Amino acid sequence: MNKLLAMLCILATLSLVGAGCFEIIKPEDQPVAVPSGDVKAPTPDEIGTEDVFDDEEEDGEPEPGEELDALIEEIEGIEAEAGRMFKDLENIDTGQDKNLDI
Amino acid sequence: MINKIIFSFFSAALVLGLCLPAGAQQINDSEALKEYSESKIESVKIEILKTLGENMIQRRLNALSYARNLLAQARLVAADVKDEVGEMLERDEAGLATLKDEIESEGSLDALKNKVQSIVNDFRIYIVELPKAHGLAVVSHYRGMSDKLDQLADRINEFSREADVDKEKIDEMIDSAKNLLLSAEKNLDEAEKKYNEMDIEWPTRATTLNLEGRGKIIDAQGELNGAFTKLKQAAAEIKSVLADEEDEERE
Repeated sequence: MNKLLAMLCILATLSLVGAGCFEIIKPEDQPVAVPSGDVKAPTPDEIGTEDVFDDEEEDGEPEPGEELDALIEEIEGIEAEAGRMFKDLENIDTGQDKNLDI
Repeated sequence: MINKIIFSFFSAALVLGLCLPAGAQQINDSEALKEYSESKIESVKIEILKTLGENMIQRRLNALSYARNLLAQARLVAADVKDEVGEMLERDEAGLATLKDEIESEGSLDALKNKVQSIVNDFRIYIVELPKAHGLAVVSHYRGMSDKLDQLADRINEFSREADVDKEKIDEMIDSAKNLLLSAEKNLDEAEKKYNEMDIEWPTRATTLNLEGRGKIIDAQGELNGAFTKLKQAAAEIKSVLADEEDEERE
């Protein structure tokens, strides 16, 4: 009786998994979202000629404040790494090199 | 009833299967040595020593490999220090690997005893080699930090000439930071000297040198940190003035 029940459970699980696999829709079969008639691409006139990125650096050279910040951040990283390295040095278990009495 | 017994048996086997390997790892060297001294049978003694030796070597090889990886990844450790320390660690790894093969194939108890003792006496991985490797790497890394702080001080100095800041105050901060950097360099030199003096032949002296080297590094740490704090204050002053100037220009 138990064997029969177990067999039925396995069969039911396999059927559910199989049914689930058939329900998966391939990407190419999925419906494509199209814009409604109310939505239109902006015209060049609407976009205008104003450069919204005007404030950005043109020659790639950072401002003095930014350069100092970058250096400080770099040194903070170095300091943190040094701290970890020093901890490794402190954690060496020198007791493992005791002379063996055999 | 039979099903219950079978179920209980498998459960117990599963629990034991999970627990036994973890328990086996806890049998440490001192337990193996106790077992060795209590045993009267030579073949048993040989087996215990072989297992003990292999475990001891494997632990050392793992630690050496960890140290070598750390060294390879450390960005600021100078190339010559990386080469020197890296070669030292590789030499130890090769020596221990050879010794491991010799221990595996050794059949005589007396020879085996000497070989297992040489894992400690001829290599001194934990008392000399690892502290020396880590110590030299840390010193070199802090030298890199010192160079970066020097660079920051120079940039602050340059910007302070361009901005309308209290130059006397900024100069004072920079001078103070530079003096701290000089002291840190001296401490790092001394620490490096101590680590270079560590030798396998003098393990007790190596312990003292390691402690002294660490003390010098801690002093240098404090000085570098002090210099960094001064320079951050100076940088904040300059940034604040620059921000004010920018606001005025916009108005």
